[in-house]
Amino acid sequence: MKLPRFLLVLILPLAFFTGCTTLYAQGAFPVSADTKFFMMDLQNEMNTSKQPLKTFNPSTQLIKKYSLQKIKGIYYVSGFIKTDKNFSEKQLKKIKTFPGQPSGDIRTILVPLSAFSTFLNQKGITYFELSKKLEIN
Amino acid sequence: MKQLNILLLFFLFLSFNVQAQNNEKPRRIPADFPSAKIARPTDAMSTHGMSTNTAFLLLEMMEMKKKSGSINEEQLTQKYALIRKGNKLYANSFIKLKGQLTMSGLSEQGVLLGSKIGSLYTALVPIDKIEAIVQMPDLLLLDIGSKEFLHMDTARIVTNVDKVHKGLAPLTMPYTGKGVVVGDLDVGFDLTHPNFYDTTGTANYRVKRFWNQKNNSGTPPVGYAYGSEYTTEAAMLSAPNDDTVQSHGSHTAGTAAGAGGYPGSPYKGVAYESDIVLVAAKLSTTYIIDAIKYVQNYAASVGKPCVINMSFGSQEGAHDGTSTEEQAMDSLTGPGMLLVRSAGNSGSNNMYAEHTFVNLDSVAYTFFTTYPKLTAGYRAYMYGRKNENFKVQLLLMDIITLNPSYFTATIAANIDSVYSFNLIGNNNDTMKIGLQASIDANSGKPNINIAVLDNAIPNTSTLKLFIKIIAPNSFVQMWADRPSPGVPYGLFTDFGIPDPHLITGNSTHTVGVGAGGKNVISVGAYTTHTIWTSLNAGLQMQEPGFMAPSGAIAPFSSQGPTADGRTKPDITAPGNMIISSVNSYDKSGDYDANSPFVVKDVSIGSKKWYFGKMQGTSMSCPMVTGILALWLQKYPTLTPAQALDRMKKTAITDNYTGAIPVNGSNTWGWGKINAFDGMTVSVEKAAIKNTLKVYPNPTSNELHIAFDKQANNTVITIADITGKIVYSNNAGNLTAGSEQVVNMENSPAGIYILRIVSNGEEAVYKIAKQ
Repeated sequence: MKLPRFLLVLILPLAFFTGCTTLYAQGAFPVSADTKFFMMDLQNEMNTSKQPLKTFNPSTQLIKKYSLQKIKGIYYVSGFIKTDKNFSEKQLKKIKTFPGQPSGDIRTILVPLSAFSTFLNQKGITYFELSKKLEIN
Repeated sequence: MKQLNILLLFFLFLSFNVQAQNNEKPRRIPADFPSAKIARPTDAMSTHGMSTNTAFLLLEMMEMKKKSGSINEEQLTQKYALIRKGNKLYANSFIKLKGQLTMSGLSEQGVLLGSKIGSLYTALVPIDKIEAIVQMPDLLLLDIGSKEFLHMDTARIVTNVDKVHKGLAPLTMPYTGKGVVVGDLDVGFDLTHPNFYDTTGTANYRVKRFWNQKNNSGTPPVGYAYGSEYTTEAAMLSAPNDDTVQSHGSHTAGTAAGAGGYPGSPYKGVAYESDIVLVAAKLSTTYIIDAIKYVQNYAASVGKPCVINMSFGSQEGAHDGTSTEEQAMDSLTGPGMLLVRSAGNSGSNNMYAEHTFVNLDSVAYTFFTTYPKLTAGYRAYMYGRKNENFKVQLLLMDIITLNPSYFTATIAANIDSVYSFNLIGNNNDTMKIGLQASIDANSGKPNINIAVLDNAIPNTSTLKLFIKIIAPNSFVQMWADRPSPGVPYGLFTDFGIPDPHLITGNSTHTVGVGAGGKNVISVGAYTTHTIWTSLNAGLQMQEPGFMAPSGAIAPFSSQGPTADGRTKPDITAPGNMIISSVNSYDKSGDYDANSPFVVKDVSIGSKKWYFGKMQGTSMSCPMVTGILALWLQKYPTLTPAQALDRMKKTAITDNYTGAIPVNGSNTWGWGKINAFDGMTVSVEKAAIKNTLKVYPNPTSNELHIAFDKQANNTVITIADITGKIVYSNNAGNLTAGSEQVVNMENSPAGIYILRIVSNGEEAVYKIAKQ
């Protein structure tokens, strides 16, 4: 069973090219792969529930999958940000985020889910990465 | 004079006579002794079918019965680890049989059978039936076993921690972790466990801070928006746990810093006089960075060095030390700030694959699958080479006919998009796939991540997810992940299809992301025990997947190298298996009194706590954390590089490790950690020597040591050539330009060794005293 057989099979119109949905990460800075998956899932849930982000209540599945944190009734997205000289902690706090202490140019941050799209357009941030799950071993 | 001559002749005669007798009849031990002196056996019996210990148990029982009419249960239980169940006293035993087992015969004697391993059974045997049982025709052996080496005992001995605890020469004092903060980030802490007090198990509570990141009902630590902080003993004891289905954190903290839970306990951990800070962590990367800073802030507030244990990991990322978490961790290490991470338990998972594409070889394939089937949450992470690109196409491929039923477009990694696809099977069953393609912001590498979002294709189907990779003259690495702990990892396979373009997975490069940090010490695990005596369920044996000879690498211990070619893990320690404290609030059933994994209980009043066995690199990691706490006690400004240097110079090698290559081994790192030699080895640095002047040498009176630069935590010792310390001075922090003078006037002439430890480095001089 050699490659040519594969290739022949692939070009035959017996199989169907699948339909797909594309979502581009829109924002002022790049985001991690996981963040893109999160945004895709978030958008799907919002489309289904027809709720705007400001009043959106995430499903249990979304909360579990992306470790959303509920503090005093508000859902937060947890992640890392990388910053540059334009970074303003004050500005970020205005949209009710909680930036942590810096480790080099990296900070942890809690972003209210309701303000996530606003957050993605903040200045002084060069990268956002959604917190990644770990497992004990 | 005549009389003297006669006497002389008489002695000469006697002397010749004795010699003559000796020549004729050599002196020998008599072949027999007078019968009156023979110690006749007080008891005798056949030992057919018995191990030595079984025979000795019976002998002692006979002696006791003869003496007092009954046995001394307490004495025998202590000596032979007997177990009382109801009105019967049992011995934890191995039974070996020939031919078919006569189960009924054993049951008639009241034997409670346990596990079967070939022709060997574990069993609880009533001790009053042993004599009858060994007469059974099918029985080859009844072995009540030897009392086991207790497992933390073993771990402490093989790592030479015991020598450090004793302060054997050339150490000048015992080292116990005093003055060092040990942080543990984990889940399943029992804040009330006696293991977290001093060696009495009841006094001097040693947990100084506790942050439960998972509980938002209390007050978070200053500077953080979530979780609850506990700062007093009373508050921590009333917490009193973070989890009721986990014991992991109680175990790891106990190994690194537990004091044993009761006087004389064999379950004493490594840094048993250290200060403990626990963080019940939300197991997610950002929370871990917050937790590290929290522990370090506490340590800084009390002016102590600290080492932090992290027995967890992930496979998500480029595995090259560039992940955001690893960058953050690297920046949080330094003098007196050490981070230790478990390598991972993927050493037997074929979850890594790579392919180098050369010349016309521009396409490769693999099946991404698992047993029994891919479900939502399975992922594959693919990375190419920086400044290059690769493409991926996903198909449902029939592994019998090799016909694809459905396929996606070909996606380039640098397209910076995320897609969802439906791959449709034979009966309109759908596998929903997410695919994200981008240039990874951290590593700069082209990256494609594949996520199974849903899968309705039955596991009996011959249609499997097939990845076609196109990367002319490039290189691609990929890792498979799993949705959650407790389910099998994804894997890459060729299903035995003999196509040269099909690549299959292996278990190299499986050291987790996080443990691959450049300044993080990562720890693999080796085996020290596979059998244990449980508290209430007799002798137990490790599951086959954990089985390995004592001293061998644990089969699960993840292997390096990192994707950028660095050796990982850095070091190994005992982790298969370890006995330590468990969570008394754990309701999972894994660690209650009846669990086969529990080996010991401790009672204070009406409350009981337990010690139990676990295995994993999670268990070897806190061994190294504890050892680094001991090293930090001696060298408070020790850096990660210096700690690693000590490990490299002193790690134990043996038949199992083999000779460690000059650049390290991707199974063993630099070998098996050696707590004692790592602490006592001379790690001389030219840098420190350049800042010192020692004069005059030779000296006849005073020896001057001049410090050109600020010298912190300075300790000066002088030993004679036998290693005996003749002078010791903990000089503390010395300013630039200061001088220490040692009076050697009364020291005997000879050669002495001067050691100056300062700023975490050591300088050694040979001094001649005239």
